[in-house]
Amino acid sequence: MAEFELERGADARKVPLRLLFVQADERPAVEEEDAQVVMSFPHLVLRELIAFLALLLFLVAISLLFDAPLEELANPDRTPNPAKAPWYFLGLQELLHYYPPVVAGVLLPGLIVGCLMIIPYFVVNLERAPLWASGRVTKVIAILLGSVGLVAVLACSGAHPLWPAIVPTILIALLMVLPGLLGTGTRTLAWIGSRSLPFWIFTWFLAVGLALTVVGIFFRGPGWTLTLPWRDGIYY
Amino acid sequence: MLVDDLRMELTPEELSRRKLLGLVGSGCLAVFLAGSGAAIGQFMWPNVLFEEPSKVPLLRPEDVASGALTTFARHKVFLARAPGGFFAFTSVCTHLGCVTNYDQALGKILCPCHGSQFDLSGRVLGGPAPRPLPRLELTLEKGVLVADTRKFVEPDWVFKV
Amino acid sequence: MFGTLLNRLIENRVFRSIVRHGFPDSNRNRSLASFTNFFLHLQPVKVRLKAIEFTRTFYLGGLSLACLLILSITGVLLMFYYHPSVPRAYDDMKDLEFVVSQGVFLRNMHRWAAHLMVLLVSLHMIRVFYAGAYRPPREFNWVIGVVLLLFTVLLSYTGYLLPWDQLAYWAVTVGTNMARAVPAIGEEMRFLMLGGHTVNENALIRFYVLHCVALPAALFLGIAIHLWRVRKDGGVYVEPGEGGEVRG
Repeated sequence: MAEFELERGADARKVPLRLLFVQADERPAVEEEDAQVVMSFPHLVLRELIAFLALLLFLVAISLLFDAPLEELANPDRTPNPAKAPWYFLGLQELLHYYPPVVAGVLLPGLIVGCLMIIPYFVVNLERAPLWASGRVTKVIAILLGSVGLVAVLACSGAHPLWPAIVPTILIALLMVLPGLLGTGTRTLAWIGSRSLPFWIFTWFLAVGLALTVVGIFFRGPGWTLTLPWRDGIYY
Repeated sequence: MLVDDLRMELTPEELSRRKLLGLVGSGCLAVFLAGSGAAIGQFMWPNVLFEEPSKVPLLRPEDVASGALTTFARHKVFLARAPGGFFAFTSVCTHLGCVTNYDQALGKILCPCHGSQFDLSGRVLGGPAPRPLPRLELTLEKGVLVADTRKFVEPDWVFKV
Repeated sequence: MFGTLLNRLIENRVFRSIVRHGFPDSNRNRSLASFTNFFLHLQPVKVRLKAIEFTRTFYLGGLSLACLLILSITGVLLMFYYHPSVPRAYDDMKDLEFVVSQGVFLRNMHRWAAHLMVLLVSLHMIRVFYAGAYRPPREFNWVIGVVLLLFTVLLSYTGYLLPWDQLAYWAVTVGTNMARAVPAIGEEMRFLMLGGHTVNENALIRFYVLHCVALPAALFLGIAIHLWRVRKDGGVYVEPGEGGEVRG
């Protein structure tokens, strides 16, 4: 709770009587009274205008240089090979290669959206305590066991081993336990060590999503077979 | 000056009358909302569709090639000759509805979207397809084999002529 | 000379009835500029200097909104030449390319801005997570943000069908078949989305209406609530322990 002084005086215009009760769910704006402020007009408005114009300029340049794709008229009788969704769905389409549509198309997206929505209601997310603050040995064992289990699930549950998820899982598990094994001697290690559990979970989620999307965009060709973009080009 | 309804003195009769009226009012509102929702839902379901008819004429029985599939791209149907009869099955992949292609050189049916493979009777050989390509009911009308693209039959069903 | 002309323009009853404050050369008039202007009233009169540093937010939320504005303008313009019917929709794409002045440019702009908006909104969400800005009292605003991301993706997806080319047709076929996989109600859901059993003209007009009216309206309403709540919760989130001073 912020410290405050109760001022008293006879003249209410000079020394107003302040009776402020700062509640537990105080607004951040109340907390800092010494922060430097500027007038929104023009300081914020100008920045916004510059940002907007920069974006507009960028889009104009892109639109002049690159034409939006347009293929031939839709033909319900002939599926192009490969038939790819827009890029932001290619992670999901990549998942469809491993799991049946109920899992990859309904269960997992629903789970992702649900998890994203309830993030702010988890105690662990609100505290965000550094992972290596306590319980070093137990945590190393727990992380290693957990990630081995996760890798096993990812390797065996689908039609093929889910490499775009297995590789990020292993990398992130290694990064997580690094401060536990080596200590927090250097600055990088200290930074990694001071990350919280929700940080790692979210980073894992992002890494898996990114890996799946990148594989879907660049490394998939006709019949959803593996291709190399520098050899075969990018299919879309 | 605020007219404070929270401190208004009400007799028990007035109170119970207000409660009843409130209940009736919100009940009516709920019925109205539910009715509107149902009506909008009904509106969104078209009663008449201008789609292709489900019964599609294919070939005369004597014209069906043996040992290979005949593709009807427009109707999304494969037709094949079986010992003692014929069978037809859909070319729409059971995974996510892409139209599969018959690869004569490989002797397989391939789905271009997610790499499913089927043999020449529609059974899954590989890929993510969960079920074989379903067989369609065949009939003979005016000497022509006719498939019904909405009527599915057992996977070993053969139309004997 | 220029100064007096400007003064003449500003210092009269008509202009003052439109813009109610004087020239923003005093802090009072600057406050009034924020306070009395409809378009600026979402922002506070004063902002913390460190809250508007570029490196804090990279203006990702604001740039997403900028994308939406560009998309609205280009989208409305494109609507003047678009018929949501088969095969006219595709012909209109060709018309934009060959017979409409600036047609290709506007279509390019609309398409690339849509992709950029999905990217910017995603990056905005990632930035907000790592800043911890979803913590109380902002929990529900995070949830609204997730819904806005969904709306953005849905808008982009419904727009994807409108050119009625092979790319559009099959992307939507695959996408709507995913809905079919929902247990029990999947088939009905897909029928509702498409207005039929296959992706055809009914589906095109449904996607068109969703893309041009229903989803934009929902998105603008959601953004209004999102920004209003940001404002009520004290503007851009700044870690409570962070010092009040700005370097430089």
